[in-house]
Amino acid sequence: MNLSRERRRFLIGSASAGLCAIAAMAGAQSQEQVIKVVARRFTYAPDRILLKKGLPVTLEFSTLDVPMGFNAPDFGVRTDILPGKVSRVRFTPDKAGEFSFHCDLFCGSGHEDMTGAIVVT
Amino acid sequence: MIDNVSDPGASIGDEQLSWLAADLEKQAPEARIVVFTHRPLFDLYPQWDWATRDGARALALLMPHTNVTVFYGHIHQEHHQMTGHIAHHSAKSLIFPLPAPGSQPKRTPLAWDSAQPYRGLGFREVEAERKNAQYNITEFPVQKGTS
Repeated sequence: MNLSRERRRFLIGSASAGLCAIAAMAGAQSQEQVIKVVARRFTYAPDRILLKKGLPVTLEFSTLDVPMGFNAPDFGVRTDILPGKVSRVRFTPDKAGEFSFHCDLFCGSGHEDMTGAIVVT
Repeated sequence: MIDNVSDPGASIGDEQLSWLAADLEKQAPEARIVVFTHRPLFDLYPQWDWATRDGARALALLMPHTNVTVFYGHIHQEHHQMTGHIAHHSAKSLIFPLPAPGSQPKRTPLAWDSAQPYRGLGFREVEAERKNAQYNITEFPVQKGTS
């Protein structure tokens, strides 16, 4: 194939740009945190979740006993946490500070104390 | 009466909402409607779960009615709020008082103080009185030449 010098330069440039974009996407994906949270009456482990502002996170929940809930109103995310299943919420913290989360599925006497904190820096 | 506490997730649920819609359809828009419920129907303080998951759907059904009052409990303190023209009132508890929304990190009850054993406790009485008669007045001036 007899490509002109200009055309060859253009193709090499395009390929490089494409590779850079793929690398950037892979970098962003590898930066995303996945944090496992285990619920049991009437606690979450961990109950303080440390996140970075602007960095997407997936929280993976499981429960060791009864159905639970997870609700973080400041980030508009909630899920049921059912025995034998993994529940996920994904969000990107858009503000720094300490924000509470709580169980919003009544799980027995002690439910009202089942809370935790998301700390975003 | 709207039950938003029997469901573990604090939802009213489709069945009750359908009943509410059907019941409200029978009422005139200006009818006096009193709603009793446990949790606030509006988002009072979702960080402490002081809300009803589908409360906004109930309020949307009530909104076309111009004379609605909601009495609720759950937060163990006096609180008054309007959502549009709908008035919401909670009262004190007889068991233990809870903190004002967001006034402390957790929604734990206020510590009992032996010096003020009844602090924050109480109950409410509501009296409903019919409004006085309203008078529609029409004035008739005397005019010449009419028989």
